[in-house]
Amino acid sequence: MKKIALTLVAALCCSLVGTGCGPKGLEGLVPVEGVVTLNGEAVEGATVMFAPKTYDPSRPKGSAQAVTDASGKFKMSTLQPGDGVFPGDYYVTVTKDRIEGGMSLDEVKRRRENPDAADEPAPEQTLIRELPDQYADINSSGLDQTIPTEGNKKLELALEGEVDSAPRPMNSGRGAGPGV
Amino acid sequence: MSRKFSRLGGFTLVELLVVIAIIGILIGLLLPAVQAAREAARRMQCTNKVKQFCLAIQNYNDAHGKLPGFGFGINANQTPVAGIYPFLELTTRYDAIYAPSSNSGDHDPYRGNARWNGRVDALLCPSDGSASSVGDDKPTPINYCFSTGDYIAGSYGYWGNTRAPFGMLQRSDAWKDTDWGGGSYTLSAITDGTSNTVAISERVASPSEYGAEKRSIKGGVALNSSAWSILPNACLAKRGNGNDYADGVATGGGCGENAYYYSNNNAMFQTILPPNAPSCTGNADFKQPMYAPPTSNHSGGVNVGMCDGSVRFVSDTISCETPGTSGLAGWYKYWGSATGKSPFGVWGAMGTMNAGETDVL
Repeated sequence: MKKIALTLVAALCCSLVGTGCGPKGLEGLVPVEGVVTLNGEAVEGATVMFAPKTYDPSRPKGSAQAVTDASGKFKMSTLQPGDGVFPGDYYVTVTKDRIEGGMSLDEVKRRRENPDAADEPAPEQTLIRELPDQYADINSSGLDQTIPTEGNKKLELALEGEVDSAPRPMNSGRGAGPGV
Repeated sequence: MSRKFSRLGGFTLVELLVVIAIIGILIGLLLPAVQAAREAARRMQCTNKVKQFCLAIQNYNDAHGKLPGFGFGINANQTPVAGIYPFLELTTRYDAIYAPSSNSGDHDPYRGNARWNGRVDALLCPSDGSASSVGDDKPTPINYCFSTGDYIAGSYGYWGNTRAPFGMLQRSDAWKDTDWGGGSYTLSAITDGTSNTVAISERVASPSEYGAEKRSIKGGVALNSSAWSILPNACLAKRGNGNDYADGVATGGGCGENAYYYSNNNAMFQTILPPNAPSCTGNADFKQPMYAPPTSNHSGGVNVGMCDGSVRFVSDTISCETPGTSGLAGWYKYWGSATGKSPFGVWGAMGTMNAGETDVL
């Protein structure tokens, strides 16, 4: 009798805990993992982007993205972290940008609380590239990939070249266009 | 017999435990269903509010001969929100907002005059409780927002585009326009069809967290990533596990903190990134170009009001390409002059009003 009671209590706990439901994922994705290196060294914090060569309106979203970890490894995501990529042909770009001169949250708050301070010009921001420019553009990256239906867990994106780390102004005025 | 009866008068501990456990299991089975039903009711209420909002826009169009526009009002710092109040049975508030004042700053929603304060129920989605603690001495918070299509509003949101019903954000035009309702379109400009073009949707608010960190993708915005400096994909890469931004991504809150002040965090969204995707901008003052997809606490998508007044639920998994044939250079070119069909799939096509797409949901 005690055993039955214990079982029932356990069942109660399970029924309370196990009733959550996860978000819906995409079907048909295959895993794509790999590593990014620059001149042989792993790159941390690089953004890898897959852009499909052809647009297929029948699938939800074709492009995928990932950020590399400390050892340069990445796992591509389409909608949810690490969920994979639709098989097919992709343009691939790799970027790592740093923006300098941003406003601190305290400064933002100060401006909000003093409406007159809102008219003060925002501090200049500049963008600094930490990878060679060529890999930021699909036309020059040379990293195009074909993802087979079984996926690819050993993708090696070996970048080479000089980094132009000169700060680039980020214009934000109307019609000025980004100076990147 | 009497002995047996006296035994029946009480229950053993084990018997009690069994009964409690059975009741517990039944409650355990029922509770999630009740919670789901409550959320379904809130979503239905939200759908109704979106519908009312759409009808108010239609009625505004009937009365004024054009859609409400950004840059609306005596002072051009305004969203179209206050303009549609008479059509939401909020005439008293409308009159208070536009009451004459010798101080022109009173007509600027940024300057904190009391007329711009206090919660307005019609602007808040019941599934998002974040505005419930906003007092009458704080700016009016908002969940519902106007579509600027598949094109990003520039700094402050002042960079106009001619592809979406609420995209014409050119402040310079509004300055000169003494008639209320600055830069805006007529319904006849929507050549893709009013039933195919998005008018409004919703964004989770975080009014009390302006100038503070906000890790949640819903209500938070990734910083140091102005929409001019990164591709839409790179903004999606800011997602960590679950509904939070990834570790190391700087974030800020304050979405929907002032329904009337025309800034990238208030009352505007785009159809570039899919629903419930991350938002990205430069500084937490929201004056730099921003990726602002709609977000909601409804399960798996957002409510979207179309220009014909119908309301749809758009799933997070809607077809939504990000530019594939052009890369960053092409993205900038697109920025300079967006013409032709939207590169953002069905979702982008729903955002444009005159790009000639045949994609429909």
